[in-house]
Amino acid sequence: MTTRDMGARDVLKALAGLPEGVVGALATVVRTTGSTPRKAGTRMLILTEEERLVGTVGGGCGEAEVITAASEVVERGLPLLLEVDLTEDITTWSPAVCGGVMEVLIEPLGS
Amino acid sequence: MTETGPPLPAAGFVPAAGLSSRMGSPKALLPLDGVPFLVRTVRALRRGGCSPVIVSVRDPGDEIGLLALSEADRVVVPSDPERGPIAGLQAALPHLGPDRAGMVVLPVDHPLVRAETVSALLEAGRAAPESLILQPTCGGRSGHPVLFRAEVFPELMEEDLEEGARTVVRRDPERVRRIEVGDPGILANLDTPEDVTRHAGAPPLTAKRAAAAILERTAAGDTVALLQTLAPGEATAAGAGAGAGAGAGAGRMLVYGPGAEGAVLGSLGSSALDEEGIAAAQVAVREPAPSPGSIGLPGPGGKEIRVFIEIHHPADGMVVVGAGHIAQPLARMGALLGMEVTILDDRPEWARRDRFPDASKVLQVDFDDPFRDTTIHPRSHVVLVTRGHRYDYECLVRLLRMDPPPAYIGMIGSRRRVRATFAQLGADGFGPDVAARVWAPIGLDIGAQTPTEIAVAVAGEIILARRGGTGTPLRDRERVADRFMASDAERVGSGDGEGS
Repeated sequence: MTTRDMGARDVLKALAGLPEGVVGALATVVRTTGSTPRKAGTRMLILTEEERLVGTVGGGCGEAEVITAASEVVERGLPLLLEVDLTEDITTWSPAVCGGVMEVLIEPLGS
Repeated sequence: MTETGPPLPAAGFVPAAGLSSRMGSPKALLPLDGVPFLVRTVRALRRGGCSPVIVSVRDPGDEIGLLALSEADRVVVPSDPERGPIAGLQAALPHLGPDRAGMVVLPVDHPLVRAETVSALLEAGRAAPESLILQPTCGGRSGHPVLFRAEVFPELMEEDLEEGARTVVRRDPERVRRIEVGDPGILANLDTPEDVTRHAGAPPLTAKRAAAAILERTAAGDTVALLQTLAPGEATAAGAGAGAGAGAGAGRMLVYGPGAEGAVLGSLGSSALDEEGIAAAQVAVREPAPSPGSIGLPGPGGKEIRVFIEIHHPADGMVVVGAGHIAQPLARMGALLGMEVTILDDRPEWARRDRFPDASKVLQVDFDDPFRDTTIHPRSHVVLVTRGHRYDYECLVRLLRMDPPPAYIGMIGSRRRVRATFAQLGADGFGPDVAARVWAPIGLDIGAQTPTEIAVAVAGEIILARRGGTGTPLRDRERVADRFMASDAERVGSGDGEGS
């Protein structure tokens, strides 16, 4: 099992087990509309220093946006509410194109 | 859980007229996770079922007095507070109301006591009318609050009680009943600044702390609601004013207990918003399948505050009775599915930890009472695969009598054996509705032959029972090829817009 293929409880376990002082952010999908790859309540840990992800919020461009925003969150030390629009081009053969919008709360670890 | 009846009608009392020389400042006002001791103790009594809740204060006009007036149903002022908490208690007793059968006394320096502890006392008080004084214990150690029945009120009113209410408790051990509640908060009197630093000075409820608490509480059988404010900028501003509770980021709070009955960790940023959050959590847990999402709560000035809310149920469990060849792959699958797996067998050479590395627990049990050390709860999935059909049947009968019942009961066996089992159930007085709760013969029809294949069939059936699918191949159910690759003429006739 890779660290990306995890259930909700596994991400919580990884989060609870992080050593103190690990640099990174926690992303939580808090609202979705339309068709999205993961539903509200899905979490992903972005461990920026280790360049490691735990869990997934759906992969593709949407997730890339979350990862980029997470670096900013870690730098500023303040949480951020990010709207990820997945309604772009339905005809694209990308797994990330689902046709919905998801709202993701990204907060620095240790807050 | 099957016993019914109203809990004992009792009042609650918080003595808060002391000066607290040890704390250097009045401890009633000290915040713990952002909520003052006084507010926490009053709420624990009220949520536990006490009414009215009375607080004794030294001066109704000072900060403690005003807080008490806003939180309690009644505030009393003892004329001689130097006599200690008993002075307040004696001032409170005449105000209980004639129908109150008892009073629960919770000192203000016990802010960690859970509401369920109070309700456990009231429940025990109802069930054991001969016990005049009920005291909670945790790990055998007695703590607070204490429930006094109305029969001992006259003794509490006596003038020369050397050690206050304790004198009455110690007078006759025969009438004191101790109730094990498993709440360490009953022992935690936060008397010194160091005590408070240890509990309240801990960092605010971070994501990491919240995750650890969710895992711990759900493993213990509690339901946990997580609430988090979704206006991080504003929450930061509010947090700066609210102190320890809100933290530097978004406000975050956990409400837990069976049915999320009101024990609270963290804060959404203000006491008023926390109250709204707790109420919302208690509504959400009653929904059959609450999905996480955002709600609006009334914030300061009537402004709506968006809050993320998520319910965490007690962890799903898989209990496999019989540690044989099917149990091994099944335990691995249960763990993969995120379940806490328990393996039970009466043979020590089979119920071995090293045979089940993914299981949370491997227990050697006596099949006379196989579930003695295993909690079967409404999210338990029980698989009966013992070596002998007689054992399966004995376990089955026990499971069918459980209230509340487990989520899933599956039993292995050939068609002939299952038929015999159902006949025996009928003979033992179980109706067809009870038999219909048993998944037997066990497993989905996928032609499974090897132990691993059978385990897949069983795991698939458990997912089906959990998620509500049909077990039919989606190809056959959706018939995408049939419906959307038909000839042009047929397609014109059937129209479009069915894709979803």
